[in-house]
Amino acid sequence: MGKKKSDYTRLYVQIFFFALIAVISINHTLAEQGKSTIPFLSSASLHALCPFGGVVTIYEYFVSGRFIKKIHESSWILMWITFALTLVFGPVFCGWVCPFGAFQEWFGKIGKKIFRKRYNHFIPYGLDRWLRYLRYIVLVWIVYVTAITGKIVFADYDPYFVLFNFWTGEVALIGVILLLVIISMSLFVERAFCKYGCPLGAVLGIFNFFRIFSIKRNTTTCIDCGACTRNCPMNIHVDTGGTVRNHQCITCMQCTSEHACPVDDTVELMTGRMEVAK
Amino acid sequence: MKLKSKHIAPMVLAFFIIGIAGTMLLNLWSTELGKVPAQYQSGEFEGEYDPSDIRGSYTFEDISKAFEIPVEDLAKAFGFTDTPDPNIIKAKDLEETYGSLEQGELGTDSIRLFVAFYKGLPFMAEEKTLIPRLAVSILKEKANLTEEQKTILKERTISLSELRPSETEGEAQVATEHETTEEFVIKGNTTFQELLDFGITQEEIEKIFGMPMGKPGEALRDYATNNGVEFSEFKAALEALVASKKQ
Repeated sequence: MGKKKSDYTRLYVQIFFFALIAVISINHTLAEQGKSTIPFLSSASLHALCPFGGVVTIYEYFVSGRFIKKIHESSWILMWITFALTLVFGPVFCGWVCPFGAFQEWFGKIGKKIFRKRYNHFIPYGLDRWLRYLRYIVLVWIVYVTAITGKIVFADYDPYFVLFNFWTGEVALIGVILLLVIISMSLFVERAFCKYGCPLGAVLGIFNFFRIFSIKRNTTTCIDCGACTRNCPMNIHVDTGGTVRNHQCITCMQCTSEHACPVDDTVELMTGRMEVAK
Repeated sequence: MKLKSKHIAPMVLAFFIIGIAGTMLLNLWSTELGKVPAQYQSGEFEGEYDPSDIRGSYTFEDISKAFEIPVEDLAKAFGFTDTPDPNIIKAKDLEETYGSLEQGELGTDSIRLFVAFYKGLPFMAEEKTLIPRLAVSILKEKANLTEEQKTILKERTISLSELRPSETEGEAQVATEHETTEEFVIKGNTTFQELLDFGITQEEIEKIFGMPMGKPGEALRDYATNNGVEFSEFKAALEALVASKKQ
């Protein structure tokens, strides 16, 4: 037990993926404009680098054997890589890789400075609990409309696309408005879009019920201080059970004994049974 | 087995690196959209490329390769005859060139319609899809059109010269086959495409102006102004040429 040393591993990984996507997006714009591009770096479009593109084309692929318009083979492959990763470690894609999740998290630090303990606790639990299922409605709507139209109809509403393409002039006004709303919400709620609107997060969240490595709490060594729950950006009550099976867990590991939990070997990302102290 | 952040970070990277590298080795990884349309899966045309799968990103060259239609026909049909390299024209360029129209849309679906009828393949165009008069002329010349197809084309034919939004001013522009060349008059807002449609060649135009022809949709007065000359200087010569063509 004792004060934890700061660990920036996840932050570095987030910065890496955010910078990578940002630079590739800029490279794509340069390529589209016929200008010289940054050497040794892909100039793929954002659509080609998002695993959600694979999710929306699943129906079309299994029915006709082809992808919907603007969806690339790379999206399909990234989807399967993400699924494999999530099956083993849970939604680490959300917590470690997704540039839009990282962007909200970083922006949320401003809200944390302003509101301190009230930050991320503005929405009453009873309401918040149900709002968390909104992202499944978003997912079903997108998959359904994409299946019947054969087009990525959500492109105009995609705040992630806007974030990395706002300089191109190709973004729709509705997408810009949504991005601004999400940025504003991030001042009050941590990862607001992840919690309430992200359709990819909805898919990956389901893996929390059968993932191989899970967040587990040793109930015998736990001192019930609640640090794990207080530090969870997704407001999961880690301190009320043994294994976290909440569909919103993003495997950020902020609750673990490596970070928030003051007792060693008490909240861990692990597989197998938690050893009970005798 | 317990994992820490220092384990997760390399594993996340490893999943992506191995996954992407592996699929690259297997030639499965591609961040470019495929330029080969899907094929009919069953029926009379099984195995042939399906025009309905032509995407906006396909170039005339891609379409030409897949459907064995000369790029020249595509360029002529859709008014890109003055383009230095029509091979690189993309299907979606039609929308950018002609803009949205009150009477319908001239875009990727127009190319799908043209290709389908050119090759005698089944295709149902979208309700508002239009097709240029020149494209219809090529189809009449090179394709075996059925009466039904001729009717479809007749209902959707539009003259490229009528497509500049600033000049349409909300008037219904869908052309009919009853229009005659007798009505053609040279005005300031007459475009080069109208001259070409009328039957005047690019060489004849360039001979009168003494310089390369402007873009097909460009108005003659705009072209003259942009090049520092008076439209009226050339109007008489153009009228004389039109009159000679009418005879």
